[in-house]
Amino acid sequence: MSPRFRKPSRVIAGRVIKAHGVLGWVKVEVLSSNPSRFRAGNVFYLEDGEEVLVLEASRPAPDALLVKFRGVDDREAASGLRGKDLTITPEQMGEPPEDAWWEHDLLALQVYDVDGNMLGEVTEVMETGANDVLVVRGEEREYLIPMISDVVVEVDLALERITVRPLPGLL
Amino acid sequence: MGRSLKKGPYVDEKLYFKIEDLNRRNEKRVIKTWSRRSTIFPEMVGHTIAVYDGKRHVPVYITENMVGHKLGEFAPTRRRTKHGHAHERPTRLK
Repeated sequence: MSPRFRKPSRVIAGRVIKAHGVLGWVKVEVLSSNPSRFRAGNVFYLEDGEEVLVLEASRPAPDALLVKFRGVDDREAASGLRGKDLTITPEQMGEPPEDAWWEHDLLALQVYDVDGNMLGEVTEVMETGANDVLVVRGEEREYLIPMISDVVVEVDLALERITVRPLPGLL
Repeated sequence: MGRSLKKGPYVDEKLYFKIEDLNRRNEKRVIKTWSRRSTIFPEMVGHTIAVYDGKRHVPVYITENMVGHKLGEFAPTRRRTKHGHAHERPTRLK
């Protein structure tokens, strides 16, 4: 049996694209649905490490956000952040909206069909522009399960289990 | 330059006939297709079509507001998520 998928301890909220100007500002791709995530005073971690970045100021830019972190005051320091993920802890996210789950909460859940056969574990939630898709890693292969009510019967976070009724031709 | 209106929207014939067949039999099943360039027709609404993204077939549930778009628009060929990580984003059933 393959080892269990380990749920990441952090959630990605943004990604630094590049340095902007010479005063330590960086251009950030926002990967968070929370509009107040990039407000002054909010705290981020760098990738999965313990290094803390405190947001000092932010302003909009075309297709991105310009951000200034406390202690990052010149272009050299800002360039060092290039390509890095800005992460938060799951506790910082709070409660999910009604009838929804955080992507992070679904990772590592075990997926069973209605007959009780285990398909595998959720390793990723894909955003497609239509329905989201669960990437489920099984013993022998990977399954893509659409997040639609015709297929997903139940999501039980307490039991860490998702029950699905696959349509013919899906698996 | 856009496609001539005289020709009408493009759809892969085999895919269209399979959908017609399912509608006639009032049946739901996932249809695999490689035809990302096919236009979504009203007949496809309510069906799940697995669209090829260059590596695997991504199941896409067709809804009314997707009519007129191309299937490929809903099966991205590049991924933004780092493997095994999640973004701060809610997900819900459609």
